[in-house]
Amino acid sequence: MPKTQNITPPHWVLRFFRWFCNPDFVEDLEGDLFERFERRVDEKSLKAAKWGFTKDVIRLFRPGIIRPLTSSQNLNNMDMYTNYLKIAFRNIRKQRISSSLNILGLALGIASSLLIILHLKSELSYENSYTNADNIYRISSLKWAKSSPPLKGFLEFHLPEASRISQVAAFGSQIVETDDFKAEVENGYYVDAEFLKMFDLDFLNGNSQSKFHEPYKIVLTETMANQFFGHKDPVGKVVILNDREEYEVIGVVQDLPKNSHLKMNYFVSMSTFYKQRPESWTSNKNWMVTYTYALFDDHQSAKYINTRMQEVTYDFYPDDAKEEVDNAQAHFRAFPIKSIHLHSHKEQEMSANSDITFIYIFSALAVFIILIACVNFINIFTTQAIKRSKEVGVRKVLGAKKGQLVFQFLSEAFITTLIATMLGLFLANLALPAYNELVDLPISYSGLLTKTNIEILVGLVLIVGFLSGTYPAFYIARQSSVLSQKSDKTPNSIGVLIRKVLVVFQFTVSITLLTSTLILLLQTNYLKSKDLGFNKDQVVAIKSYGAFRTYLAEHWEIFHSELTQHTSILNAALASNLIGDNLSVEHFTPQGADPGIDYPSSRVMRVDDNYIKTMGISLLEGRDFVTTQDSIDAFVLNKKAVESLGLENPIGAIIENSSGEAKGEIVGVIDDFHFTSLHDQIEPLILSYKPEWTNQILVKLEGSRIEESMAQIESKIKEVSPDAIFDYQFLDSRLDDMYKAETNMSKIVNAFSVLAIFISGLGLFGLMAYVTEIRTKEIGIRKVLGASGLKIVSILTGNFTKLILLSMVISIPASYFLAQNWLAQFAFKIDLSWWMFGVAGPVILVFALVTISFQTFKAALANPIDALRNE
Amino acid sequence: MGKYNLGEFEEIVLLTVAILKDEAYGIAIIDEMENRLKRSVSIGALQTVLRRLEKKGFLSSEFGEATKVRGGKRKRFFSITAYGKKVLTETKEQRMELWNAIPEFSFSA
Repeated sequence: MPKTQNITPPHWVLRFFRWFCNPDFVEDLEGDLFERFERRVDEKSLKAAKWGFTKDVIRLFRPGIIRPLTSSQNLNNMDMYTNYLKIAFRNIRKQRISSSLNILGLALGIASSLLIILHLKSELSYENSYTNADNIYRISSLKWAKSSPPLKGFLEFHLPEASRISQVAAFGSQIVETDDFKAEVENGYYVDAEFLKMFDLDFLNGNSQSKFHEPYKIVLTETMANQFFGHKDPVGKVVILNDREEYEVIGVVQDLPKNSHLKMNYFVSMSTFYKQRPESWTSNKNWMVTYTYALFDDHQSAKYINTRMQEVTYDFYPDDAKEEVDNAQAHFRAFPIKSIHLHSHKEQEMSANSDITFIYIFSALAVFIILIACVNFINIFTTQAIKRSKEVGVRKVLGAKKGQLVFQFLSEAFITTLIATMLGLFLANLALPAYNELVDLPISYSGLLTKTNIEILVGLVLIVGFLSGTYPAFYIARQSSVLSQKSDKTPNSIGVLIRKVLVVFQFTVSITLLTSTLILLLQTNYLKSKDLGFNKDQVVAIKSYGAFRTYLAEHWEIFHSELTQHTSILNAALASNLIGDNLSVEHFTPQGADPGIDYPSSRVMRVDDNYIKTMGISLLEGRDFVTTQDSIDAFVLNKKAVESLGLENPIGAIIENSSGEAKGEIVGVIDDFHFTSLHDQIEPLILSYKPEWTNQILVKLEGSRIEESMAQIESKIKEVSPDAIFDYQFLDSRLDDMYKAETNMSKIVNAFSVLAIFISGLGLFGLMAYVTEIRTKEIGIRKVLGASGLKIVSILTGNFTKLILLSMVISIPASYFLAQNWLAQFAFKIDLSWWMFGVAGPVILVFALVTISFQTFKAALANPIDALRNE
Repeated sequence: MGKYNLGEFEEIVLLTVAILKDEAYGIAIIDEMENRLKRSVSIGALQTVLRRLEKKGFLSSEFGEATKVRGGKRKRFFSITAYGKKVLTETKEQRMELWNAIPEFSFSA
């Protein structure tokens, strides 16, 4: 009977018949059909028989034969479901190790993703708490976040679409004094009355909003009011700022939300700002000092505004050629405040903004960790389930349908996921304080169980349960019952292939994460240890203000010499700014230069004659400032500035700034040093000798006696100015703060890559347990035939080693791409070299081998008789 | 009277099942009907009626033994129930009454 293959009725017709026919009739009808088919083959031809068969089937396709649409058996399935539940819990208990590995891995994955999701949510929620947030825009040029004071009046006239225009200016860190309180308080701002309305800051206490138009009025946030006045009503009381001016408190508003780019603690009326500064300044269109905000009625008008901002800009600078405006990137844009936190990176932002890249990186991290945990789940759950093929077989024999089995295993996956989620939630709760510290963010503990978060959790359970349960469920349900009864059957090749792919995926992610961690670490170390061109160690910066500052202006010489008498104090200097501050930008030109030449602007810092020595900056040419000689303006330039001004013989050259108020001789040239963070290139810098314009004292200490010197400085200050607050910071810790974002990210990626690797390890452990069990007999036979324990270990390990080697290869381009992108934001960065990409792989490999060695050695050392005596 | 409403085809199928006695399964019934009545019957039509008669209680069925032919599928043998017999007999009697009521000349003519 060689032709049996051919003498069968048309396959698809038969399938169609089986599909539509009432299951009760299928068997005998199919038999009848076959009988007629076989008879026709004998009597006529195969072709005729096939055709006859088809006709018969089509004729059977009629009511009465077709299966009923609804299942007629409306049985009570409750018992079945209870049984599923019971079996699920029994299995979790029975396969204790792999179940707990499974649940633990998933719980860790869920906990870390949850933390990341919360983190992302808080990053994405910036400005959301202002009612008008969608319609408030910051008007600024392409390059600068700040704009000049005259812009407000101009826009009020030229931008009729905006219903409110507001301006604020930084007041900075001030010494605040009330009856009960005296300390430095940062983030003071001059704001106008429109600002309070625009950001709906209603007075909690006090009702004389109209008074805010008058100068020397102050509005406090709740926290500040409590700090300054205890719980007394502050309205009408007086606050003294910087030992000088008195301000009347006219109201208290609620604290600004933390998730806002506006970081403000108290508000001084804008008219104060105008009162304190000469009119020639406040009417200067190039004096970038204020932030300008506009409120529109809707999105449309804001969109429309941007189309005609170019014209508005030209109108605003009527004296400048259009080309000049274009070159300076001075064009105004209405920038939605909601995008500021993640998308705005202009000069002089109000506070350090985050970056959308962080969001991408963290989202990817969350997704990958969840995926790794899911892969674990799939691997462990599938292997667990394969051990249960006997159960599946019995269920099938007893009439379980495929759908029911899928349902059973899916629901088990969901139960496990649910348990893992509960555990994950618990872990997230535990880790939250540590995580907050790690990322320096106020993600609230109580905020964990809000409605949206619960929705996110339910979503997570569904996605994870579905991702991890689907494959095992269908895999098991598809097996035929006869095979299911043979429990030690090895899985088919597709199953093995899928598992291999999953393992490769897991380890690729792990290795990539580890490599990224390494590169992050190297770069942050580089940032902290790079030679900055000055000596940042043991330099303490002390703020001078008020009476103390007045004293210093007159008696700095004496104060300096008395201070440095002490052996542990090496030197002391005055400066207008600290490293990392936004220095003022001024336009200097060499005297008598061709007016046609456009010189780039320079950064300017005011210092005294000790600055260069105290900071340990190397002088290349000329001399340092000298008190007695430099009574008129004198300048020291860095190399960049000499270059940008095109000076061939800088020493002795005269330079002046555009307003003409600063004009003097260049006395020296210093080497370029990093006065901003390493994100930026070194810019032209001009040090100007103006001790009276400074407000920071820099003191260089001897390393071994810091505490002693600090006490010495404090007593010295108290001596000359008893009321002064001793407010200081160390320069190196300030520099570290500049790389907070990087340090935090490095910490997060670090923590999560360790987690990811750990979870992968859990998965590998579970998988190896399964593989050794499947191959118990094989190992037994090998041992009986004389294989050594070591040989068996290497056989078991070989496969995984290959997979991990493959992961290493795949991870290299992935991590190279990531590293390149991340490093692009730094002007100064480490050079990527091959070893950075080669380290992680072997580390992971060793880790993996150690992980599986528990299983492999157990298998290799087992007595073969235990493996072989069954059956 | 008239309470059974046995259709013409239904009656023939019932009769054929009765004729075949223990051998009444799908194909055999079709063959028997084709042989005796020279009438071609589609498997679909027959099976629908068989199932309907079984549902009405005129027929009962049971599976036979599996054999190597027929793709290994078992046959479903139908047999007529007591109720079926009664209905069949009553139908026949009704017809006979009608026959007997015909005046004899009508045919001879």
